[in-house]
Amino acid sequence: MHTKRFSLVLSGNCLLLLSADLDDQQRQDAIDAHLFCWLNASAEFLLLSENQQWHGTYMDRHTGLGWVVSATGERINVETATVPFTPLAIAWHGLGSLPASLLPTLNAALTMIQALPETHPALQALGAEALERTQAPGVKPVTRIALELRVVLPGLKVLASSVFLETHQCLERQWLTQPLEIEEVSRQVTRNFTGELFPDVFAGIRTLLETRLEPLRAMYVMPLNVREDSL
Amino acid sequence: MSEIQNAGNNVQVNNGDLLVFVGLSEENSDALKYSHLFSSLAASAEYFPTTEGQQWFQAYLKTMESCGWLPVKFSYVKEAASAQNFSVKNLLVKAVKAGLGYATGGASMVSSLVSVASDAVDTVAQSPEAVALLDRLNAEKEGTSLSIAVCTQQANGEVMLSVGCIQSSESPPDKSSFLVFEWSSSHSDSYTGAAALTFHRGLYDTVKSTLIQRVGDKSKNDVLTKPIEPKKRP
Repeated sequence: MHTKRFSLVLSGNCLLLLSADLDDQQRQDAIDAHLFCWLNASAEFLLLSENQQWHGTYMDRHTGLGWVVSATGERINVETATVPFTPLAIAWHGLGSLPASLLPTLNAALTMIQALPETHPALQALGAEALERTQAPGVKPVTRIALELRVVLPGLKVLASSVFLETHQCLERQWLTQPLEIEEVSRQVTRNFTGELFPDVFAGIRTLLETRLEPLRAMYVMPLNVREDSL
Repeated sequence: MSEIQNAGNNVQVNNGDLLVFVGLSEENSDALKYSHLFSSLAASAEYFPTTEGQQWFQAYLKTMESCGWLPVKFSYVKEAASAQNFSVKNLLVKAVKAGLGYATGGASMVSSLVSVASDAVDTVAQSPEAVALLDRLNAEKEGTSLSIAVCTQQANGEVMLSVGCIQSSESPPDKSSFLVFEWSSSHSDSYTGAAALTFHRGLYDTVKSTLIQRVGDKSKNDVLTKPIEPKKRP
């Protein structure tokens, strides 16, 4: 039974939309089960310049932690049908098959994200992980973006969508919602997965995981300080 | 997992395959989900389902047997070229029908369950979310493969599973629905596999903890040994 409310938490380059129906332990599990996968993939590969290998490792860690991944998808093409054509909208569009009953509140959550000021600490932290601009002599500068949205429902069940982009466009501080010029995008990869956490497996590693992540959690996890009631 | 209710039966898209549950207890439903998932993953670790369909199907059945699902009979045949056109739905339903025939021999029961399988494919085909999911799952594959499993629980508690699968060298064109995709036999090789399995709860119960443990041991090892200090950008 969903009460149709969500809270927002940043973990690495991922915006988690956590159902208010999760209890405290489930919220913690959802965050830790994401953060470990993100940290390990980031320890082995660079999110933005080795994205393909990074993502493969990231998904392998999910399976290893007890995530039963029931569906995955990947598209490599510049998708022009997404309107508006912004990093946030592309990732949102990739969520695709959301339960219809949750759409109104999830759309409200999207509006709240779009309305956050660019100076919000969580958006600053997201930009530090999810965005980079590189410039080599004699070559047009390239901006890379990697962003994930993850809806977490009781169960734990997850619907996740991510986008990886390379563009020659110069992006501003409000890059998350900045319209992209299609002709400047040289690469676009959208991925999604659906899964649920195998509770019997996760129960055996919960304490180990909490202990290992304790010193790092505060560096990479940040609430977006949006009142749950307003979502 | 995507779940759609259809006339009281539960249809689930699990790891890209369709599972149909008819009157199953929650316990047996979980047993099927985890056995099917484990067996699909184990088979996919050894073979590509789209290009090594027969080996994949045999590896899948072998692992299912280890999980307590005992094969009664099994077939894997090339579809005759006499058929003008194939469709995913027709081949799946045909395969399920063959599997049910092995298992029961009762004409009315077979007819009823074939109808359930056919309705299940229609139900999924009419669900935009499920079709989108299946299309995404199959968009990047070379060729086509899909399986359907119809699982029933009799009044006496007996649980039967009929599995049908198809493999074709053809792929649906972009933007078309995978389930209603049709193709001509003259340009492709198409195969169907069918099997009937009976569920031995006692065997499953003896391996259930091992299934969980195998994944669990790997999980503990990952948590304890994998590095978690992010690399620095150059």
